[in-house]
Amino acid sequence: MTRTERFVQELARVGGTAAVLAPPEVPAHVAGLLRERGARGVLLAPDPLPGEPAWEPALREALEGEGVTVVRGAEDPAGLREVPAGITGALAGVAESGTLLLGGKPRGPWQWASLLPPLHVALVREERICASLDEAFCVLRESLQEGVEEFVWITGPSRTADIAITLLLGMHGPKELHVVVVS
Amino acid sequence: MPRDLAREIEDALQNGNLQQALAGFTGAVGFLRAQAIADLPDYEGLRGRARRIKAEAIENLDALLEQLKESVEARGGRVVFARDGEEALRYVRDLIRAHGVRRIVKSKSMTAEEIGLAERLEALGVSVLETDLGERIVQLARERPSHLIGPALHKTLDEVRGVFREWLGLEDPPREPAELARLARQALRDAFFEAEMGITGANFAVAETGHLMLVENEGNIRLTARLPKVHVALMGVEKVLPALEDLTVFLKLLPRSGTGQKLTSYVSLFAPRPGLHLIVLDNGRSRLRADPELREALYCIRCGACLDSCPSYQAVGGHVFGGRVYMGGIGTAWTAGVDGLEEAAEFHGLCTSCGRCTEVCPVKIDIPWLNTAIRSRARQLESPRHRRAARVLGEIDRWARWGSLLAPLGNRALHSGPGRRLVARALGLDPERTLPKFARPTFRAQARTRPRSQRQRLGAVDGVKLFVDCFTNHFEPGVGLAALRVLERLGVRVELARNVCCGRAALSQGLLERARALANENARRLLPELREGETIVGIEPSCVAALRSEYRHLLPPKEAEGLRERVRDVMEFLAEPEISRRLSELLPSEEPKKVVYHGHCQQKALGSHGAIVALLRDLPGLEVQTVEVACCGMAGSFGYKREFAALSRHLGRRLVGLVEAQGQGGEPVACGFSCRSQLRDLGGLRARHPVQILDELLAQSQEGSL
Repeated sequence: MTRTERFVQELARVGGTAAVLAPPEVPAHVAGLLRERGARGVLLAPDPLPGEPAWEPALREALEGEGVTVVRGAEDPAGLREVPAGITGALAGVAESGTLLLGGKPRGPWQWASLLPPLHVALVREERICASLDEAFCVLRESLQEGVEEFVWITGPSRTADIAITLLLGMHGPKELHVVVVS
Repeated sequence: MPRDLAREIEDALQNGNLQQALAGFTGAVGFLRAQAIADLPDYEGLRGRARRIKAEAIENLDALLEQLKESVEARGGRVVFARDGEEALRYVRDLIRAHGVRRIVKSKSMTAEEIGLAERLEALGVSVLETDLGERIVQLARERPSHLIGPALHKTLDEVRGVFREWLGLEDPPREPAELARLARQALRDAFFEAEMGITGANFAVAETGHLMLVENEGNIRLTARLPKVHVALMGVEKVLPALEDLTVFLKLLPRSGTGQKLTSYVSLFAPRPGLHLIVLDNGRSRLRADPELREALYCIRCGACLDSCPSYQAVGGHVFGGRVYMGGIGTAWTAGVDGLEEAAEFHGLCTSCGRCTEVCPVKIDIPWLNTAIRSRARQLESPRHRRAARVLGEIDRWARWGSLLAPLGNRALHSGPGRRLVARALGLDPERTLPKFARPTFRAQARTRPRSQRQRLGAVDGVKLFVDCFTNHFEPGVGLAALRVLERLGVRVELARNVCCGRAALSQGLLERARALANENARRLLPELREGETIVGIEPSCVAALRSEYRHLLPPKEAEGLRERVRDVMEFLAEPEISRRLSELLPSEEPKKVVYHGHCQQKALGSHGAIVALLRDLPGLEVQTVEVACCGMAGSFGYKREFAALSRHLGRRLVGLVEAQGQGGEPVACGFSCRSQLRDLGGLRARHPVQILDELLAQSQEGSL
């Protein structure tokens, strides 16, 4: 099994979904996801594919072409209360657990986009999928040296089992986590 | 007012909802944890590293805390050290005034619970909303969390609906948990956006960079820490680690141990920022740190695995087996540190020293030992009558000698109605319990005077010194004689060890000095005469465990290690490759005998259970069923004590039920004296030690071959 296959499998185990796509397919795929869910607005965090600045305008164009309002997000989250979807990049993925590593400035759009809306779409480059947590931790250390201040490891959607020990998704964070692995 | 623990135990056992919730939660988490740990490479190595990291951090605490302060403050945050809850509260109160805070959202924090932060802030007129769903439920029900990870696990769906009725003013709250959660999300989402301050705890703080690591599944911690402008993080001094990379070990261990997840949904590494106020709380932790016996309690990472694996906790939950804040066996030490010995003295008795927690603790805290140490100190607080009773129960070796000498008379006196009631009252025992019967002559005497024809000396390859424990010696010589014959038939040269009592009974009464004296005496008698390649073999698993585990705390390291390496449980010894091969050759293979085996807690804790079950399964002539149950509920004197009678019976009946249901008509076998007593007293089942079965089979096959 390749790293990507393992990643997708483990992510599915924790209730996330994934698509492995070539770069040209991505914008239409993401737009389609929002359309299926009737999401008319999206919070697009800057730098949705770390290291590829051209991606942000491409995604924005595709989404706006579908009639989706794209919010870029500021420090103040007050306007983001009702936004139905968020798109972020991920610094790395971890195959053994289906985990993503996200990072940025404290209270940055990456944090809001991956936390406030019911749907979180994360983009990760296939070569950034590490086999193990230890490997991904090296990415974290490098990112810190490059100025990324704050991090979160995300493994599946938000969940709780506090009511009668029943597993429920989407407690306070996203109910749906969809990862696009860009090959 | 002192607690009425016996009453609390009975109430908990009769609370059907609580019983169902506890069984569901601890069972599910236990299963998931075992799976999550099975696929973790080098679990043992990680545990060792985790413990080392914590031990070093606690050792270098002052320097690390200074470094943490510098790192956080260099990036705009603030760090304050609070000696106690009062100081922490004062700081938060000043913040509230300075920032005009009226609404606070809060995530789950045992440390905040410890200083009653939420209630004390509410008393100042600000609203404090718990945002973890379970914690919110508990807050609305005006209760305390009953588990480190699942604060509301004791509440049923209907009880939760009742809470929602009051909270959201709903006449008929939905019956679907998903609907309830959706309503809670909506209500709390508004609160997050409105609050001017968020209060969180911290799982770890990194001295090198100032990052705070927080582990969660719901996302409320991220919202609490990031939506409001002011973030107050409250952590105990023990949470600091030197470097970022130290976190990887705990990232692998904490979620797996806590909930059986590889990782929780969110593990945040929050960077220090302006608006962060990190309160570092002492509140008794320095006292624990300065206490060589209790210090390792500070290594706890609050995963709750010890609770889920604890037979007492599984039966009564954290409200009964716990203090004001901290629960379970680890909670005894934390309660002693934070609230004082008197509070801890109320519930340490619920730890039976079975050791199941030490198997699952990711930082290998010796929780039974913490409880033994506290028990020994708590004795000082007790009435002379209680202390006298403890002394009698703890000095089993002394009175059992008299008991055996006077056996027929003494037994009659002890088992007559008035005699039994008198003893029960004097010692605080359960009058319904049958006390064990003294045997005369003792095992030692019977072994010494066996006719020559019964002694077999086929070889002298593996020398064994048979440790003569008090239970075998004074109550069940038959088990000892069976062990002797089995070993000899296998060609093992056996001598009786010249040991004294192992000290188990003294330990379980908290009589540390007596246990230490016995340990030293045993080391002095056993070690010098141990020949090369010779093994000390014990029959009673709890005595084997005393020699191998507790002696680490009672003897100098060299002696403790010397004994630890050489002491084996008799069944474990029989499972060794060369011995088990010989045993297989001698056993008859036709018409296997059906047995149902109940493993001993302490064999599980020492790691010998698996090998013993494998041996029994592989041997010809036996067909083995096993019952998976945490504990028989007797644990030495535990089951005899009036206070714990109901709990002991509850656990014992569960074992009896399983043996009857799953045994498929096999004869019950158990290595522990207590386990066999439970099966006999509560189920009328005659259970034997497996070595007695082997002895019988070997005798049959020898007759057959003659």
